[in-house]
Amino acid sequence: MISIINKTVLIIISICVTSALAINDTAFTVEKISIEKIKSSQGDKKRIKQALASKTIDVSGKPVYVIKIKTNLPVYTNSGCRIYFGDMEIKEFGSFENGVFIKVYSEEKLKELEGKELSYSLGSDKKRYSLGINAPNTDQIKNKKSNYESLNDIKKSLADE
Amino acid sequence: MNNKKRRYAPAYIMIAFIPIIFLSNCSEDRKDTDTTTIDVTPFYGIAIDVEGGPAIPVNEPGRVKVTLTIGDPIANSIARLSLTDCGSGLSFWTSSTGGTQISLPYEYAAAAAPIKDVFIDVDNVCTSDDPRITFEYLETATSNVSLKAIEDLQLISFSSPIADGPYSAGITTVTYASSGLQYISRYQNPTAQYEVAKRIDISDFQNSISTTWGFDATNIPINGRLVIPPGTGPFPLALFVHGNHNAFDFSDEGYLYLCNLLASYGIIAATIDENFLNGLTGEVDARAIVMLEHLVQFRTWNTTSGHPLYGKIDLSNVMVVGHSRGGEGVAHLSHFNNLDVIIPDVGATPVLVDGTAGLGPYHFGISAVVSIAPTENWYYPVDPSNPSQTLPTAVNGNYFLIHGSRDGDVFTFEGAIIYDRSNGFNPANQGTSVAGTKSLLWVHGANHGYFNESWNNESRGTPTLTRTEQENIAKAFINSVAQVYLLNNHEYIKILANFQIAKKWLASTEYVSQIHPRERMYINHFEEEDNESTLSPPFTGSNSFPDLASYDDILFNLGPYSRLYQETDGLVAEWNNYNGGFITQITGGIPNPNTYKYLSMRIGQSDEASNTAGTIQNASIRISDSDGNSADYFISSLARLPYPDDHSTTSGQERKTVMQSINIPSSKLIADGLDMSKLNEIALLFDVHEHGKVYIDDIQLTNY
Repeated sequence: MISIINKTVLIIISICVTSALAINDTAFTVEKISIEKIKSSQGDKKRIKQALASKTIDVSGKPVYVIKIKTNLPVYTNSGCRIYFGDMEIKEFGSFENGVFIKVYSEEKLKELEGKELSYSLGSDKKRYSLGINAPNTDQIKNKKSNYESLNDIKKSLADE
Repeated sequence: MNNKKRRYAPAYIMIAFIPIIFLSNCSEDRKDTDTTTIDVTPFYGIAIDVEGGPAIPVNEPGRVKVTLTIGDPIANSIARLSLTDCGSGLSFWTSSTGGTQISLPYEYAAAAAPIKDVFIDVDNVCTSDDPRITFEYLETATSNVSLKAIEDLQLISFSSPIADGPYSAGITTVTYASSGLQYISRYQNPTAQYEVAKRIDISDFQNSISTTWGFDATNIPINGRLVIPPGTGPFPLALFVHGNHNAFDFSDEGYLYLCNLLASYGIIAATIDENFLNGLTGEVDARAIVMLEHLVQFRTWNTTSGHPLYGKIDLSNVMVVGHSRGGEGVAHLSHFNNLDVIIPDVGATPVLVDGTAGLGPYHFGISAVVSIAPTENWYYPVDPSNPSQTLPTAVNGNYFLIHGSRDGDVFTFEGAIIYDRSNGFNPANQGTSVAGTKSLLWVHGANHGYFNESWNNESRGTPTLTRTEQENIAKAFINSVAQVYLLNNHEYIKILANFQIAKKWLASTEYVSQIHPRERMYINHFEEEDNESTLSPPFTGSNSFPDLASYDDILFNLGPYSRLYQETDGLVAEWNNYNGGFITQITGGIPNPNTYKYLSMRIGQSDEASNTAGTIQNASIRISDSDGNSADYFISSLARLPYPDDHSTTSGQERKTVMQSINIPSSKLIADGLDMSKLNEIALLFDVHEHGKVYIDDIQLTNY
């Protein structure tokens, strides 16, 4: 049974592949995965409240964690791809030209993903293929000094890498 | 036809695709000469079987001449005469008095004189028990012939749904867009009076929109292109939305060719911008919300005195059309439209869509939902009555689905699952009607991209139809949907029910169409658990399967890459040696038998070894009543059962089996001597092809 992260775990993806999929195509890879923090937008704040199960908590200073994945997964096809950490399907993600991003709205949710293997499936087929990489530990982000202002900064960072 | 014994078996001629003459067995009477005439009027693509025709005593020495007069031929058609199972017993001639002998099989050239008269001389003993002459139209013409319907033999003249309609001279196209920063240049300067004051917050549904656009999920623009017919209206409204695609290769103008066509028939039509939702996952609910918010904007303009659209739009008469993920989105739209509160996902905070918090209210009159090559499983709506559960994707209302066999993106044809679920019913208590009529068209050779003018051919490895051919197919059928559900030109439902009526305007390829009308009674829907022998309540009786090589009642879902990826239970039947049948016996009579205009079923062949690759499958249908009357039809006289098409994927996928609807008019059954109130047997007899394997479902009485 695949447990599912609901949309309180924000996600993002992207990619640049637009060609049709081939069944059992395992040509997709991940070049790099990292976690960044960004300032929360108005939309993020609603999701953070949901993630913290509180409508009254002050979330103005809370960040959004973004798992940044440099990859060639096919996000522009309609049959598309799904991604998973362990058995957890990531139900929402966004994309840039050369990668996908997953927003996570609480550190607790982020910890649930820690160290879990990243895999994908294609279209309606739920068969999963490992991408040979695991979710980073949250320690990495705690020790990281620089954070980004917005998703746009992450997009630029992906382009620069 | 009744079941009285004849000295000679009757001759049938079925003209259309595979009309067949059955020739009689031996006769004790000897006739030196017998001349008779069968007048066959070809219905465009639908056979008319001429019953009570002449007996042809072929099993005796001598000479018997039979003249087949084929009236009202289709000009420029290509046809073939051939003879099977009869050795050298018959010969064909071009004239009743000598003439030139025709070598069989004889193919009539496209530009040759129309097929008119054929003469058959019976010269020798034909030793076969089952001699047949086959007359087959290989290609049909493109001329604007009037159609003669099998059900009532009345002329039905359709104007081409591809051609522009009466409003074409005066249509105007405008651009509407939200004010402020725009990421697509055409929306930076909307047409005067079409600037949209608002942006919307969809972050409860999708919050991962790339900042590339210059806005995030809390300030989404309302952008689109709108085509308006001349006049004061009010006009019905059609709304088109694209699916997932390279977000930087904008998709929103790709349906202007359809908007222009619909506007020419007096329909306001828009194609909208959802490019900012491309490249995401978990966005299909947002696609539906954005579309509904466009409708909210149209309602605002429709009630704003002085606006060019003031009073022009009939928002109780709306068709929504979505392609790909947009095709899944419109199914969700049809559900969200009825709600004032939406729970985006299980466990998520409910979102007001009643107009009090920036979204809604909705409750528009959705007359029809159309999915073009839709996805199926990217979102499941939360059940409002049980928020811990989701609902299957389905449409409850009028629904049309179109998909190409060589789709290189959504190659699993998962829209068939939406189709099967739509207008659901309780199998134990099916009632006499559902929320709407659903129909589908499966097009051999069509790809995914060509339905959108901005998208390219993504199919690989197999050739596809041309862009123009594919667009014409979309025009013909989506306009027919609009004619039926928006403009009340109900006769166009015949095009949705049977592609053959529209084929003269379309590319020469195989088509498969299905229809499940709103009014219907299933005799066999096969949804009962593991019991293929019983009929569907309230019908009583039994099913039997004499002499079949194998049969089973199965779920037609063997996985996304399999030949069957549907969501219905049905019967699979396999036969050998021209032997075997599937017989439904009804013991309790037919409730309200005069209510229904058709006896229908859906049936299709597979790519399994029992079927011959590239060959049209066929069988006989025998309908009987309790007075002993019966009538026989070939499936080929009603529709085609094409061999499944190749597909565009590289490996692992089987060719899709897509069932074809067979609709036998009640008027035809009555004309052939049957008493519908005493209908007691429906038999599928596999006596035409030596072997085969077919999938059968939904034997029902229908009304459309």
